[in-house]
Amino acid sequence: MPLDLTVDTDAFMEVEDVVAFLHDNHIDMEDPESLSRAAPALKALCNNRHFLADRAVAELEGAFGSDDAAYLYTAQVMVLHRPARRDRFFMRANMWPSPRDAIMQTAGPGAFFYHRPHDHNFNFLTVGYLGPGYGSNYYEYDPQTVAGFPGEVVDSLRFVRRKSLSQGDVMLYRASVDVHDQLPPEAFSISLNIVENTARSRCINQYSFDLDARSISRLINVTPAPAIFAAAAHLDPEGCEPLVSDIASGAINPVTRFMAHKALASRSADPRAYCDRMERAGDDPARVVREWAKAHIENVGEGMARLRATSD
Amino acid sequence: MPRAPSPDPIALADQLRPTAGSSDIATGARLLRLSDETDQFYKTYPPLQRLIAELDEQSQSPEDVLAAVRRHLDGKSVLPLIRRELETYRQEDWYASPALPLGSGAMSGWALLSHEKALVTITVIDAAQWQAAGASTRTSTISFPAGDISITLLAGRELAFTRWSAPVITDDRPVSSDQSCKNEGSIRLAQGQSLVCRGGVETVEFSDIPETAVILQAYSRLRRSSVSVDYDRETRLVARLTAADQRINRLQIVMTIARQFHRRDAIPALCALTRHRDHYVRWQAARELTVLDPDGAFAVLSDLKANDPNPRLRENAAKTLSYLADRGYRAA
Repeated sequence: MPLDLTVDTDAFMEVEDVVAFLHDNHIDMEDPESLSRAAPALKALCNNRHFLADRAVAELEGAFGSDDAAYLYTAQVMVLHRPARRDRFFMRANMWPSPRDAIMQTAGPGAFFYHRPHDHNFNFLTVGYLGPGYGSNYYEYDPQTVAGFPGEVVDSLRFVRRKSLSQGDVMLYRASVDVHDQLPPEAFSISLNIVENTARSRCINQYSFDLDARSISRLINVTPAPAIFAAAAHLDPEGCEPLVSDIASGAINPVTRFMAHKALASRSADPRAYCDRMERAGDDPARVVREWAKAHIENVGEGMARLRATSD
Repeated sequence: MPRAPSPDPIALADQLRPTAGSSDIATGARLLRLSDETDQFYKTYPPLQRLIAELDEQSQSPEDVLAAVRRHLDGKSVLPLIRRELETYRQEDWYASPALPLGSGAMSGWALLSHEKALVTITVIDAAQWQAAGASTRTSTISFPAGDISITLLAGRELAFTRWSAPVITDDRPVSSDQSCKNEGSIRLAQGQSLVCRGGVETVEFSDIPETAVILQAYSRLRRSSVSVDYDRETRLVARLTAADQRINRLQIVMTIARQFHRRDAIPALCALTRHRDHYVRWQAARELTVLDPDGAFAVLSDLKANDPNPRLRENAAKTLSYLADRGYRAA
């Protein structure tokens, strides 16, 4: 599970002070040990009980009379520090409504990632800033044993413990190791995060898990690639299909190659031809592409059999 | 001419894996630069620029917004943008488009433009995957978004939809427990054709996708309703109401923070929000105000009780006033 970090400090910081601390101390966001050294700074920001409400009031003052108020990220997240050039982190505050809050009643629980077990493709340091905190059932897995396709059974996935991120608690979530199934807090809660923003996060997959089946249910870090490849192949087959084929055979990112294979297969209206084209991904050097293609073909095949049975 | 795979892809991949220590800063900087360049390309793409100018200067109604999108964007005008993305994927290792991705399963897409008046997306529906998923693609509810939507079939033979209608929900006609939606039959869309659904009262669901389809979809943020409504597929009765958009959710969040931190300097803004166009924002502002300043809330609650267009909100304001009076609070 995420590392519990005990931090006892009365120090007080503003967001800018934490940013300066991270720079001055050369915190390496990819190294959990290095990132853990930023825990006192984050706790000092937690001791600052006005900065977040100042921002909220400023936003309210800018919003009244208009329903076109600009917001950044999503409703639930307030970005505290946007990464400047070569910054390898950003900072945010996450709001965790309880079932009693109006926002939960109007947006529903699905909007807040509750009951959706997932890992992260980045390290982050977090502190409970307000309230009892969201609860989590924590799990761990070994990323070295995982190819990373939907439906893959993750034998190394194991339950560790349940815990809530209460006010003042500091925890370090490790990329591609810690999995949590988040539960709504008993009262409105807020956490503050220092989040890794490095190149590797664009290349590592983030998964949601089916805990009953102990498997990967889907990739969370969706990209526009599948739609771009398929739209290109359908809108301009002559001009774009060769480019998509190049990507299917030559892209360095295996998930990108899989998406390109799938876009090319989707050119066939006939499911059999679709599956035949998809089988070419079976020659890919990466296991994730081969296994994902196999699972995808099985799904399409099973679905077609069901359809035939229904129509018979 | 196919590009040869990078001579040592495993080495590069390992550089970027979580267990391999620090990743290459130069690679990170290059990826950020590529993202910025793509962002800039979208922002300066002439058809999108012309669309933005029209939205900014002329489009005043949902009909105007959707017509402007259809005037400026079609299968031909978006192609250079798509080709540019494709070339970047082909040439640049680890490139990932910064465009907002959408959808899952058989449907995938991305946002071409997110403007205060419109969200414009391209969606691809993989026909084989959609057919294979069969009934499992159907959700248990039928959704009516708050704003108008237009759907244009850019590629694919045709699409078939089931049409649904529902009564309009306004402050004068709040939702009731027996309110239901109605099946309005089916409609087919051929390549190049568009259909429009009016927010809150009309919606469509895909019923047949014989061939993989590429769709240009536009959503008007000049919405007609204050809520999006989900109806239960079996009973056809209202299952759930949700805020019309995230901007409203955000207002709700910041109001809650102001109350949690006892910020009395938020009172003027909360008073102003009791005149917001959406009844649930008005009501939440009144509730937060009542917690922060019960004496000061009297005037606002009295005004809501007398003048709010929503009958339930008038009723709630009256109940809150008597609750406060019972506990000894008096108008400031």
